[in-house]
Amino acid sequence: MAMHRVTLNMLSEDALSGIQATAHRLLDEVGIRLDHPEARELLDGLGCRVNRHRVTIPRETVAWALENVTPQDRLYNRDGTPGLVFDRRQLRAHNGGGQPLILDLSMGKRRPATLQDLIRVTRLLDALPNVDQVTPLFGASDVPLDLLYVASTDAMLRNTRKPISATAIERPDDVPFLVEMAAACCGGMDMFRRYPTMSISVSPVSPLTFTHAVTGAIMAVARSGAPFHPLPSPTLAATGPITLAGALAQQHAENLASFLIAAAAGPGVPVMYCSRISPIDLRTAVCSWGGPEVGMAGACAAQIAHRLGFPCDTYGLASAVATLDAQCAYERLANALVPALGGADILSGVGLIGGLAGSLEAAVIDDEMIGLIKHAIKGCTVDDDTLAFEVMSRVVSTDGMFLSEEHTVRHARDGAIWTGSLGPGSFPDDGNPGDIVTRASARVEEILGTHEVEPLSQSVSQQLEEIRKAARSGLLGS
Amino acid sequence: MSDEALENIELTAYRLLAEVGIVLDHTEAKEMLHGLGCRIADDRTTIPCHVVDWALENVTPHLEVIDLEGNLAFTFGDGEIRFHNGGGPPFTYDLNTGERRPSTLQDVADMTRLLDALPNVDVVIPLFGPQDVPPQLLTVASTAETLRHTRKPVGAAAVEKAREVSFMVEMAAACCGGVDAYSERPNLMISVSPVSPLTFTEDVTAAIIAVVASGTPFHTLPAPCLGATGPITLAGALAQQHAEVLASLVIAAATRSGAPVAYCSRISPINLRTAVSSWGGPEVGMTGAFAGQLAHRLGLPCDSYGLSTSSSHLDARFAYERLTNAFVPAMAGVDILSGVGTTDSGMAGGFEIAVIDNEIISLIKHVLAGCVVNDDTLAFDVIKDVVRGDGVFLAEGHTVKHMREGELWMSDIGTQPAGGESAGDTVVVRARAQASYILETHQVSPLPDDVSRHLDQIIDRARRELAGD
Repeated sequence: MAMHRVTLNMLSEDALSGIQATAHRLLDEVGIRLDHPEARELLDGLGCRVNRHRVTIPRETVAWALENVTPQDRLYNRDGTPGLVFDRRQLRAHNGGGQPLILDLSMGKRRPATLQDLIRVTRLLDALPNVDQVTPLFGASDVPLDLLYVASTDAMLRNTRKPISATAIERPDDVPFLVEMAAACCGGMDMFRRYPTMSISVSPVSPLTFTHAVTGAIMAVARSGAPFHPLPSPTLAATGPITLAGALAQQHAENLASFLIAAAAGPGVPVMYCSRISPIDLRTAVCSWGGPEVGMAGACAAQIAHRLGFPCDTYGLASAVATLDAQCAYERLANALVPALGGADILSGVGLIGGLAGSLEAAVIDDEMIGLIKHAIKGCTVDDDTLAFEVMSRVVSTDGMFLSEEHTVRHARDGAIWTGSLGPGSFPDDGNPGDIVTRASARVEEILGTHEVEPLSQSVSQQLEEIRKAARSGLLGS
Repeated sequence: MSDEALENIELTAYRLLAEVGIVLDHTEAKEMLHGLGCRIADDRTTIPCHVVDWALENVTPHLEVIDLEGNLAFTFGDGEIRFHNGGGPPFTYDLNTGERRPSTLQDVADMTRLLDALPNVDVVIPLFGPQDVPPQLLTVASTAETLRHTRKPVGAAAVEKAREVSFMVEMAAACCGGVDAYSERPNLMISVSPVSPLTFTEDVTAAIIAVVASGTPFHTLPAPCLGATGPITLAGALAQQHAEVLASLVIAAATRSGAPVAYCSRISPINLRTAVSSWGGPEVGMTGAFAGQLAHRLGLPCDSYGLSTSSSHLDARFAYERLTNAFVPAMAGVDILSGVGTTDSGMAGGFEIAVIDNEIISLIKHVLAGCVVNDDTLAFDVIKDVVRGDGVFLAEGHTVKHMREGELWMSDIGTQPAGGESAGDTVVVRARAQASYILETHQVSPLPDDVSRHLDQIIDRARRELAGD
């Protein structure tokens, strides 16, 4: 059956043009703060105007950048086999990253996450059918901060075969180690450059600020051959304007400036367009990932990205609520469904709970929600077979049953009706179903008790160990 | 859905009516339909296309919704999305204990008052099927409680017997100044459900005729279950439902030319693991969205599900299923969605659910309002000033102005902050507290004494005539 996908446009063509034009004016008339001498020189050479730390970027230079980055259209599995393709027809999802806490239901509270938690959740995410790319969900508290990215990438490569991403890195020094590790698993650097198995994100600081570390990190990623995901994340009313249109324009400018720095450092670098706009909570003045503006911005960003020919990675399953309750669910669903309908290619947020924490049970419930969303955006196939005139005619005139018709059985098997994996009847001996969190916990235990991830070969495993050793001496106390 | 797909569904519905026909167990209706050109053979009545077309010309879209006192509350088709509560659950989540227990008439009264206070509920129908009144009196008694405890527009509980209709109409008429005023501007709407597939029992048909004859807006409510009482494929079920709606309209038009009607969609999937109808599947909302398109092609307003779930816990699944099923038809332009306050495939209702739904609806409305793009919202100068001034956006006049205008969604229930180790209270606990607060403080001005006494007399008569007391 052909894959259908319903798409609803939040923005008119005029509105899109207005946002793009404003982003161009911001770059050209206001400019970015760029605290990196080498990057300033590169940009100066490309026609930008450099005035101490402020760099303004004319339209022609933006156009050059767009011609010198490559829309990232795919990502490969750990071993270099085909993983996921961004073809506008499928909705994909990945988990959120870098959370310091885990919601530990066995203790009934949040506690600092450990490397062991990261290993467990990575294996779980490997098993979940609607998670397409894995990123380190936790920032393990028992690993020295300087080694966090290297240790996390090592844990991921050992515990999932799916394509991975490094959480947003904050300095250039980590990049060579991460890329070497991923390359060791897929047959070396040449293979990694041709069939990248890991993307790396870097977040510019909103509004329009590229610190020395961030800029260095972007350049290092662009030169490494890994696909680059810029992650600007303006907060409405705090680090960006309160109005969605303004924040989208600012985020667009931040994405374009990131592309320019990446293209200047490594022409042809594969890139993704990302959106991480969040509202401020007007009562507490902190950024709140639960407001529907997250998903609305994501849907709009997908339109902007597609207009330029880029795939779009956006939030996503987002809520500020710290319990796995109904509010947490409707906020995350709204923020995921809206960009899904808006055509986003890949959604983030699986497994996050309440801003600073991650949860294995949340990951299982999110996997279910993504399945639901995929079904809801499938639309409806109308042809002679699905219109089922003969079936209705027969059932009605013979007082028969639809349930026993071959048509029913066939389409049930084809997935005409969403079944999910957590609802009634989805566990053996499902007599007295508990609430969804109880059921998700049971599913976590079931998966961790049975799911095997093919181990790395001994030689690859040894290489990773050596890279970690080198990282330890290179990064610790550096 | 494309126009071509919609035409195919309509065509299939026409073929079903003309070639397969409906079961019509009502002598007078058969005679009326025969007179219009339908063929009556054995137990089936087939309806040719020209009769359907005639019916469509002889019904009126129910557009103006009138509040209890007879004033225009709103007009369908004005571009707004509206919501009403679900109806009929036999069980209530007790507000004090959280336990599930049989519903009472007092629950209907309390819930109506709560719904009256919730800003995102536009029409109120009796939410519970109270278990402490005789079953024969259930519909009339719960409608009376609803009329007493809200000033919003009211829909009657779905009727199954023609005899119930006159009591409901009398009660509503008593509230707006009598039968003449009622005929002029009926302040009630009544729904009747044909039996799927394509069956109009004697009771159902008589009820449709009674509703239409009384001048009350008629909402036809077929509810095919995918794979059970309708085909498993959405396109087929939509075609069958469309045929059931059209047949209802033929009966309505034959009863009274110009009858005000609305198109309703209540398709639900079967749970393939347990073989019971499951109101949580996304097919509910998807079919609601398509039904909205079909209704609008006929110029009729569409009432569809809606906030629905099959979860029997007030948990995350309860929330994500109901939001999906409300969001999809809301985005597709359906006029009014049902389901507020109910859960577990319509088996249970709860006060905290209504409060949570009010919140979910505000979320949906915020998304539907979309993203306004103009020079002011693009905020070029604001960004320029902040970036150059190294300041923050929070202090800008632009921020304050748009904050006051509602640029950012504000939660009514609030969020437990994620501070400390504790995961905090659940939204259910906070929603219960809010429901209790509303019930303690929100007053609905009582009906005038004479109207109230009139309702008492009507109920007494209904008790004698319907329940045999």
